[in-house]
Amino acid sequence: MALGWRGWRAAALAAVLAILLPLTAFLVSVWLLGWQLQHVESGSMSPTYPVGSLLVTAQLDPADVEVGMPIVFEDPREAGRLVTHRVVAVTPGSQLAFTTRGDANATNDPSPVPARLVRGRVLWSVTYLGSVLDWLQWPRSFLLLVAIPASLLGWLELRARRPLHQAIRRRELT
Amino acid sequence: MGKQTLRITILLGILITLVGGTGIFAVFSDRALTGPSDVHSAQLAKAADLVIAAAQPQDPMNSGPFLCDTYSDDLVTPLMTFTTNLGGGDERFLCLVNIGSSAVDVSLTAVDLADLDSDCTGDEAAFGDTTCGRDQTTMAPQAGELSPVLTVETDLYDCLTGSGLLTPGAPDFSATLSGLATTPQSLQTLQPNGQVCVRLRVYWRATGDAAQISQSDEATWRFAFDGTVQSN
Repeated sequence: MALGWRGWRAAALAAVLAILLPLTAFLVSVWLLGWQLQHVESGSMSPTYPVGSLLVTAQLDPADVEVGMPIVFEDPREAGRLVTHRVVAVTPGSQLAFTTRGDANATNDPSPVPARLVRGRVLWSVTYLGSVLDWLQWPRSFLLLVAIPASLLGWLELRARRPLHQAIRRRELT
Repeated sequence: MGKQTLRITILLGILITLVGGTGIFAVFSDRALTGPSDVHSAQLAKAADLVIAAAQPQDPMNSGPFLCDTYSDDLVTPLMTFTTNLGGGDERFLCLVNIGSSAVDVSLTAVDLADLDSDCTGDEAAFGDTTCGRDQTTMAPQAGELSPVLTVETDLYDCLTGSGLLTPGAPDFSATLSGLATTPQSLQTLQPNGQVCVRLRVYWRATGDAAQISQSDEATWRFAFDGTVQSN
């Protein structure tokens, strides 16, 4: 059975509510809870975190780090670059540090991670969602979800008012 | 699509855009940094057999005993990949073991060296770099000038104690990368089952015209450790 205009409108509304509403709720929750989102761009942690996965991460006290835990840390050899690898050894003491390795890597990472560079732990991951959200970041989210729908809405409003204007004009002429 | 749907989309879109701008998306890049493998050890006759592994100093300050990863004939993942300002550089650690039956003299060479100049920046051309940037016909990078001003410093360590074997407080060996490509650097004699840990440091050190013409250039190579059986 073919969908009429009303059917299509209802389907579009349902699709928007089914996709955007949970996504918005998820993002707002992450923001309120102080968590962070990360997009997995390489396969060093496969198959645990495949490329394109979304990682939800939370802050972590370095004293709570244990062997076997995947942690997020700032690369000791490249300031500002975040890496998520698994802890394979802990060097205790005043110079607390962690030896890390990607699950898919044959060797440990070349430099131990000092405690001060630990940024957090992985709470959970969602396959594929990382690529989607990464693509949806500014300015694409604004263009796709605000600018284009606003333009469309403006055009619909104008089109709806045109017959009214034409009727007023005809009345004025007569 | 109805007006109501559009209004809801705009509202949720504004929320998504605003929340996305609060920094909940961490900058994430997960390139694996498992050192090794521009380095390879040649197969030798007379039972000489060098194997190599990535090494890690157990102390974060890069001193102390070394942890050697799994040994192999050659390492396959990139050893060094970095962009540096003038005077800067990077370093990596390696373990070498002679599993052959004879003592070998170990030397270091740079092989597969390529110097590329794919961009003409700053005053590069004004200082006489005639191969600056890409060839306008083929769009291929022209010859670069970086390797003669890349300094390679090599230090040897006892893997078990982490103590330096040769010159305390100074590099054991120093050469330009282009020099290493033409003249092997003799390092040490390794007895059968002998082990040594090596620190390789690469710096961009240039002054005057050489600094200008080597800017925005690229050098690629592999380090090779060759073991030669001592002649009696």
